[in-house]
Amino acid sequence: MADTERSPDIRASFRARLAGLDIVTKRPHDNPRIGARRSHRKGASIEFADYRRYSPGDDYRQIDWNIYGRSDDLFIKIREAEELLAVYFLIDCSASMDRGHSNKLDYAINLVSALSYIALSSRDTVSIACFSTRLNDEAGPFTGLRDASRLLEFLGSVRSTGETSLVAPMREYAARRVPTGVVFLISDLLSTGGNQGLGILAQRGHETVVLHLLDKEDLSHDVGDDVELVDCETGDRVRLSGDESSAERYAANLHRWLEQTSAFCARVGVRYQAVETDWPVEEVVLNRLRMKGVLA
Amino acid sequence: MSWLAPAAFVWLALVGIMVAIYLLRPKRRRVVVPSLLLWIQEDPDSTGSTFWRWLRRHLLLILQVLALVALILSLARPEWLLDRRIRPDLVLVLDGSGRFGAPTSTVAPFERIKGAALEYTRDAGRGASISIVLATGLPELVAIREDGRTAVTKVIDRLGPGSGPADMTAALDVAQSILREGPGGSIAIFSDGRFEVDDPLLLARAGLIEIGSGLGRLSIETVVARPDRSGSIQVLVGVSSSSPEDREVEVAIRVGEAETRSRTLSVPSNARAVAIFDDVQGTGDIEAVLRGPGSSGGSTGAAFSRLPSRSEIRAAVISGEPSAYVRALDVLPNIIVQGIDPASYNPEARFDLYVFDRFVPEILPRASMIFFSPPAGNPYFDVDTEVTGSIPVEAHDAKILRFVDLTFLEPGESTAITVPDWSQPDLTLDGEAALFHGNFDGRLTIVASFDPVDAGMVDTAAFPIFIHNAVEWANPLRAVPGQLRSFKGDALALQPHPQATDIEITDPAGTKVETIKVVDSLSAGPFSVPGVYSLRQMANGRLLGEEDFTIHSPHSGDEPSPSKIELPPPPPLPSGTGEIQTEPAGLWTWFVLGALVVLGGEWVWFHRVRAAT
Repeated sequence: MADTERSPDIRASFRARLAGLDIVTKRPHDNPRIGARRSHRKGASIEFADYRRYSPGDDYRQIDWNIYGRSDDLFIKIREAEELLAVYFLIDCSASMDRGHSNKLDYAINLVSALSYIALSSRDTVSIACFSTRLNDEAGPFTGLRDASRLLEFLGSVRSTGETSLVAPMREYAARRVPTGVVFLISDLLSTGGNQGLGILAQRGHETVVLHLLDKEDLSHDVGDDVELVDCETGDRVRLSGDESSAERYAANLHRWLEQTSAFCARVGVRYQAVETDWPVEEVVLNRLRMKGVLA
Repeated sequence: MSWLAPAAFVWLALVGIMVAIYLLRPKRRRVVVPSLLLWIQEDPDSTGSTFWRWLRRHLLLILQVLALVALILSLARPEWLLDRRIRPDLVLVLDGSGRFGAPTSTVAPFERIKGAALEYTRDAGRGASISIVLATGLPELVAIREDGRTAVTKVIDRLGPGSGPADMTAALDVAQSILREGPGGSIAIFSDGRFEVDDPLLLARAGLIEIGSGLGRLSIETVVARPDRSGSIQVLVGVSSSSPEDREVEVAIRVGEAETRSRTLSVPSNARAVAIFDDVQGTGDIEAVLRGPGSSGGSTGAAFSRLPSRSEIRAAVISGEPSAYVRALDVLPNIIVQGIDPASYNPEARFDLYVFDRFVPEILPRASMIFFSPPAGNPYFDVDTEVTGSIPVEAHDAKILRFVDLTFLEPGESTAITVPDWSQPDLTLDGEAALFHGNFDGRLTIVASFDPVDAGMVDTAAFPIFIHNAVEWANPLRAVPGQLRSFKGDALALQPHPQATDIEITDPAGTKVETIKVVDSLSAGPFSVPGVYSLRQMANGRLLGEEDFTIHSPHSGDEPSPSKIELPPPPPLPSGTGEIQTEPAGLWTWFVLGALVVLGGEWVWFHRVRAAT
């Protein structure tokens, strides 16, 4: 566990590029508050969306009389709705996150900082929660860039603790009466309980994006011969006779695990993106998440 | 459970040493990883209870300790007392004498022995452990304590008789040794009872299941064929009996492929009888068998004969007065005699037999020789002319003097000769020989120190008899000694003609089976087919003589006929399935086996299971 204070920051040049991005939603959400974001629902904003033939019962105030004068047919204007998007960040703060060649928790906080900046720039609301075996610290909602400093201050205070569990914290979070929105789950997913928790938030109506952090330590079998492996979270031990076959088996296990996780996310409607901590945060945000359709 | 060597438990201290070494071993390097998720995905045990994790972690030590303890326990010689049901022993002794393997029988006698043995095991042998001894010349233990009847049947089925007399003493010794080592039981002898046992104790707990054709005590002794005056064949079959009762038997003969002729013969107890077949037609070998009266089966082995086909002996009498010798020789059949003066003696002349009278040549002929009164100073015999006290003479049991009346020998009229190494004396005078015979450098030689003319012998009946006996013994045209009977499987020692270079032998089917180069003494055979064989002696392609000899099949007449052993049937076996005995069972092999299994399990764990996690 890192005892030092974290100081998340976003470089000015990076901030400028983030300001032009939006978090993409695929469907309307039930946020009653009106915001600055175009909604997939048709509403009463001033933004014109389309025409359609008049049907009895429609608001006759929406009839376009100019078209009637030209075509002797009744059409009504359809206008877009505008909504406020709720963006939630769930950060895995278990002990396994606070280690690695590049500290995964630091990387996660930098990633959240960047994504939060995009959301605040778009006047979306941002909420942040940390979890291990349960929900720990929470902050938000933050709205607008004026809340950015408070948000970064909270991120700087995040500490790692406990084991990773995906089921109990997700159930606890899903049970809350909050507007549905986009949930970013940032974790290394090294939970012995499996991936069952990943689908819980999607079932609640949230658009869930899993950012799976993979450190170089997770991707390789560089432990040497005849060692005793100790789980940093549980303290469990396993004796290992290192040889070529054990490295092959580890690689096979890793490959199978990534495939199973990705397939599971696809099956429950969760967008999944593996993120190696060697990759710069800028590249992940500006390229990979845009290519994935998470940002636009 | 008890321990025969409890001192071995001292080695248990090794267990402590092993555990200490295990605890002091270098620890593995610990590596902290984010999660064991990807390391133990296929190992559900690692998430099991603490006990199972501990067991897995120390499994190698536990297995090694177990193996060591098992080895130490085996050194302590553990023993377990077990109750075991002991089956009584039944030893079957099957008489495998050659006489039971007669090939001409409809059912070979040995098959009847095997049948009786199988029947006995089914009835009396129930509940017994059966051992089988085949009594032949060299007894063989062919089954030892078999409990399954199927195995016993298989063993008996594949048995066959031997080729000669059985050594029943040795066979019963083997059988008794089995009874001594086991819980008791009995010995069942399957035989016709015609065997001898040196030690009566060997017959303890033994009984006889008598097998026989009813002819067991009768045998063919001789078969002689001769042309009668009408030109047909007369066959004489001599039958001997060792039976205590008068018996009737059917004697059957067959000449070549001709029809079998038979007649019933009464044979007195312990005596001989001759069946005479006159006017026998046919050509070829003569085969004679004995059968039970009115029965086609149950015959003894066959005996064979053939009309004599003697070659003529060419004899020379080297004497100044050869007439007496020529007369005596001339009356013998199949001989051509010529008298020759000693001055005309030619050692290269082709005679088969020389009679030298008062003459010993410097160069001996390649022929049989009969010397009468060899002169002193000859190069071959040491003649003593001053014999005193020569009466009475001592005659040995020699065929040469058979039926010869020796009263012609007058005191003071004889000389004597020192007996050479190669000869045996037939008539002794004052410690030296008046007559001896032997094989002198490949030549059948008879030497008489006396002069039959001077002694007056030529005027007595003894002289032609003596000449007949001498020629009969010294006949060089007969290479097979006539006094021996030969059986299937025997080899024959041959006495070839001194001039012979090759010997050809033809089997009963007329096929030449052997050509022997004459070097010195030699033998022929063994012969596997019974019957009459032909033998031709050749001298560089020239036929010297031809003779027949018979190879007999083994039958009752071929073996000594000891008086029948009177034995009751075997004593019954103990009733039930046997008694229960408590006996110790050594367990150390099981402990060693257990240790090996544990070590094998450890190897598998280390190289297969553990390496896979």
